[in-house]
Amino acid sequence: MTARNRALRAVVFGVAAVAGVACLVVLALHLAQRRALARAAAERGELRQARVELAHGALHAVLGRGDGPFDPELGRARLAQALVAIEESSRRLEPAALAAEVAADADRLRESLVVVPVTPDVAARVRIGLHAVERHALRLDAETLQRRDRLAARQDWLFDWMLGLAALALTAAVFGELASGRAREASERALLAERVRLRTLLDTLPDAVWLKDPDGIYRGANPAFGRLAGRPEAELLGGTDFDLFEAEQARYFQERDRAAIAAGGPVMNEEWVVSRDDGRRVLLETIKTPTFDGQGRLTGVLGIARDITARRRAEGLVEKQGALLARTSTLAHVGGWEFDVETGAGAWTDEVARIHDLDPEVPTSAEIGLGFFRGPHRAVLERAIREAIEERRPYDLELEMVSARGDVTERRQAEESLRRSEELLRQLAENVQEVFWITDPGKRQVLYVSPAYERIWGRSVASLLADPRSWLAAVHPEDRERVTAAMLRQAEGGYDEEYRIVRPDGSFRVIHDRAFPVRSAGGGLARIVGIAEDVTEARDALQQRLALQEQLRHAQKMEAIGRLAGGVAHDFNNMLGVILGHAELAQKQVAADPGLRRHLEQIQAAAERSAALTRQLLAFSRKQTIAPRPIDLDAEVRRTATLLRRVIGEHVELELSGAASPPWPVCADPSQIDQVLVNLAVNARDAMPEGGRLTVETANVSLEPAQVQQFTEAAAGDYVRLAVSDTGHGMDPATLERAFEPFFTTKPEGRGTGLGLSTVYGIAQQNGGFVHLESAPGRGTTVAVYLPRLASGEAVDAPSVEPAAASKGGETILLVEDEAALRELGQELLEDLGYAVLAAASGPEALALAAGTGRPIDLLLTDVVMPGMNGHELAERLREARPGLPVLYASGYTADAIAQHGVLAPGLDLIEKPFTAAALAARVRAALDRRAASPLAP
Amino acid sequence: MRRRRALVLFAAGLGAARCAGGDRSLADPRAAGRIRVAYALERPYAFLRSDGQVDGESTALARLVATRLGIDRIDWVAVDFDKLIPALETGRCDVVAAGLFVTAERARRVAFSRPTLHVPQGLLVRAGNPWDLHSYAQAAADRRLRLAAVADSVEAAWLRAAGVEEARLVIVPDSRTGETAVESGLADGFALSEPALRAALAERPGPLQLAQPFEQPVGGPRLGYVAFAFRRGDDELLRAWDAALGELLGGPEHSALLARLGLDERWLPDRRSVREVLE
Repeated sequence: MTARNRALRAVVFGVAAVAGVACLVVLALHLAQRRALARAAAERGELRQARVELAHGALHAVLGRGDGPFDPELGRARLAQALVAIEESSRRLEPAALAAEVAADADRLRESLVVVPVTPDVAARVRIGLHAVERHALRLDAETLQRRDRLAARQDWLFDWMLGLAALALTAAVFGELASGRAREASERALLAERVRLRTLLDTLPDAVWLKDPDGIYRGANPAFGRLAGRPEAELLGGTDFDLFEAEQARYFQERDRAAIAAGGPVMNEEWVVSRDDGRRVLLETIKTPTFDGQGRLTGVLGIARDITARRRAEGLVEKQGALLARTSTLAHVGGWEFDVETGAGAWTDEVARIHDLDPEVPTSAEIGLGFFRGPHRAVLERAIREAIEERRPYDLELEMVSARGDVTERRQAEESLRRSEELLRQLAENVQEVFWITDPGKRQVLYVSPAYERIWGRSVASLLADPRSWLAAVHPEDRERVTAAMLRQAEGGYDEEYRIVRPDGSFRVIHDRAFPVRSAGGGLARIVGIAEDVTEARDALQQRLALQEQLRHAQKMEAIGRLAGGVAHDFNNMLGVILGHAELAQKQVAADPGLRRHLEQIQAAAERSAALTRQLLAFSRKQTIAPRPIDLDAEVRRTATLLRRVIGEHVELELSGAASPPWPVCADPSQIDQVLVNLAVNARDAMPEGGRLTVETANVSLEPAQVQQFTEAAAGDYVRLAVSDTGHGMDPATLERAFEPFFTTKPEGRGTGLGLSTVYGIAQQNGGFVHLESAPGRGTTVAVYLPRLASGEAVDAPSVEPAAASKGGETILLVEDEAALRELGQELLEDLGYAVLAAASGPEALALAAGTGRPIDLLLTDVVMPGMNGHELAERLREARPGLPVLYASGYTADAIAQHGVLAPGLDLIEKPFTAAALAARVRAALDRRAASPLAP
Repeated sequence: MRRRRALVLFAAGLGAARCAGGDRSLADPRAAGRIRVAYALERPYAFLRSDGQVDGESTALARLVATRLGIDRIDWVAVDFDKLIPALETGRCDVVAAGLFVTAERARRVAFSRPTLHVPQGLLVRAGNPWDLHSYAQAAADRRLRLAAVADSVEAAWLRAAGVEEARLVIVPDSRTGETAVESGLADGFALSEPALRAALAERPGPLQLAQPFEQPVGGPRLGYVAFAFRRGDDELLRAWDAALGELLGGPEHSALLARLGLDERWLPDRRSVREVLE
């Protein structure tokens, strides 16, 4: 029975006892209640009887006349009887005062009853007395009833509870008994299974097992013993050794049994027995143990016997061979040793111990063995051992060994050398910029960290040694998971991580951390060492370099696009010139045909629009010819305000915000500033379809070298900032990246050319400034154009604007144009105006023509960009023979030939291609007339 | 969830039980055609005529009300005055019609109908008013005097409250004994409502008189509101009874009744409800 089962049964008995007690209490209560109720009933009965007596007595007393059926004496007697009964009843009840009151009223009634004759006042007394006593009786009756009810209620309450308790306890007892029955069954099943297992064990055991009682009679045996005794085990039981073995053997066995009993514990002996099974003589190792019952009384002797015949024989052989080997190795001065790779524990033969001059009895170890080798010998040996272990390669070495007695001095020297090298290493570690650290393989302990840790981490070395986890805690939260994972690889090597740390002051450092496992001689992991380096500055420098590269790439891209656009625009301009010119000529000739004239007008309008486009392209590619002059940007903005208002429409509010101090002068072409403002205003308007606010502000800005980094293509210096901000939908980063590219537009088809911002970009560049864009989706856009401040005294001559003087003339004009169509058109237009025209397709051709003609040449009208000799060179060459020859250059875009970065050299005349007939007439006339007015004229 | 459902079922069960065993205080007498009315002899509220019939202000009015409620027969239950309320409580009767005054103490045990009379108090003394008594307070203060009052009456309570010791108090079962007690010198005064004393004097001419003039007791409970009494909880009966009283009071039948019993119209109650009387 298990302990649990016993406890369960104890509970069951306890609960059953409680139930029994509760039943007994219930019974007692029941009896008590019956008695109490009976007594109360009796009391009430007496009281009722007394009240009846009271009424009857009063009747007799009042009506009795001596001769009638009512007898006054009887009445008084019955009344007295009733009064006594009522008084007694009152005395049974609480409080005592009530009994006194009842007694007083009873006495008054008795007194009034003895008065004869019955006068009215006596009658009144009787009436009053009777009434009072009756009231008392009634009250007593009620009290008695109440008392009975109270008693019954209290007992009912107890009765109910006790009954409930008994029922509960009985139920619990029944369930407990059921549970304990189940537990008993389970424990019996377990016992049976245990017995079966034990029996199986005994049956299959090769050792013989038996049990004898104190009288030497066999009480149990297993099949192995049966085989030894030569009969089935069932037949053994009940017999003694004398029934089973030879008498002498039997006596010996019983003597051993007695020895075991005398010893009070196991006795072991070896005995030769002849097996009755096969007649073999076997050596048995027998253990005999006396067995005792719980009270310490002897119950028998348990025996276990094992056949050790074969083992004993083998042992003898090994012993003999071992002795032989020892003798042999002593003679040959050869020894053997063996060490455990893991623990280093080992053993060696006496001969090896002798070689090492050590006591063979003292246990040895790998450490002791290796301790006899020093310097290179030791290293060679260690490597050989390692290879032997790892590659299973045997080794055969001849090594020098130090003796156990003579090594003290050497060891001291070695220790000193070790100390010096450690000192050197420590100095090295403590003076390098990097943090050198060592931890245990489990990363539970930091064994060493160099002082650089304090400088880089901003934490004390002591704090790290105290809490190794603070290393990881300092890692930036975004990097911590990665570093934690990587740290697991430290033991394998190949840990090489870069991460950020947060210093106690909140600043970040970027750390490059590497680690290497250090293995012990046995190959196990001994330490992890690492070097952590602060690469913050290097990282920042790299990022700056990358940013600069990116800026350069962008600038190069814009430059390339610009060149492309400029080249295309140049050719386009030429062709547009042809179209425009011929359209004009044709119009003159078909004045009579309105239909045809309209077509020509359409052609001309389209060509002019195209020309405007190419001008914008040129502006972007900084090939637009400009005439910069010192201007006040603020004033320029105010002047343009009216135009801007018209551009942005009524739903957008325009806010002009001037510089707090007078703006610095800048050098720019006012028409380009207008173009910038209009282009930006149009973009802003399109970004605010629902309306909004457009702010144009100017400000003086001094950019320090440190500040220019945030701007692309900017240099330090003083600038005037012209910023145009809108409250529109803004741009995402991808759009922002491409915003300056020509023909990149986010506007719907037909709404934008994609040249607005490109033009602004080109104009800023051309004027030595730059553009900065700030925008985010939903946050509006600010385009800031930075134009360099014009140093005081620096002045740019403003080119004079010539009045249109489109008049004809008869002078001779040398026209040089490599584009045949344009050349022919020019010739036709000029001849139309009455001029004599010498037309040439190139510089050399023109020179030849000029040299060959006898006529004076009044004006050179030449293209600037031409293969071979450009227009400027041609002009220089012609002027050698004709000083003061006026020159009118025609160009689709400016080239370095006549203008520096598109800025026209002072005193140069240039007509932009494509030009109209009227423009050509006016410019040619003006150039000729200027010559006439010039004192330099020949 | 199950517990909540059980609660709902339990509540429903209670409701059903209540409906089944609801207030049948009016329905049962109506179905049976009879009602039990207790009275205690005290003119002019309840008395027996020479032909043995029950008569009086309370009892005759009870008969009128019962008729209006469709109850033809009244089973009269005669008890001593101090057994009226116990008779109601123990179920011996359904209504008390005995000139019972409305008091807070009684209202804790029974439910009162609307008042039917509001009468003054009186004191019966021997002829010539030898002690020259004119108020309860005066009589109570004189320690030589013994004063009679009906058991469990308002007057008895008032006298006790005024400091009259038990030895000086002659508790009588009914009006008649009180009169005899004064007449025979057992008591020097008998405190009772004025109409009751007047009726007694009219019935029994002799050496007794009312103390005149008489100062009405003040400072004690509001005295003199006569009403019917019912078991607490017999709400249906009380409501119907009050409704019928509302129609009867001050009507011709009621006036005729008062006139016949010699009751003054002055003594008709004001509009105070029982609750207001008790406040």
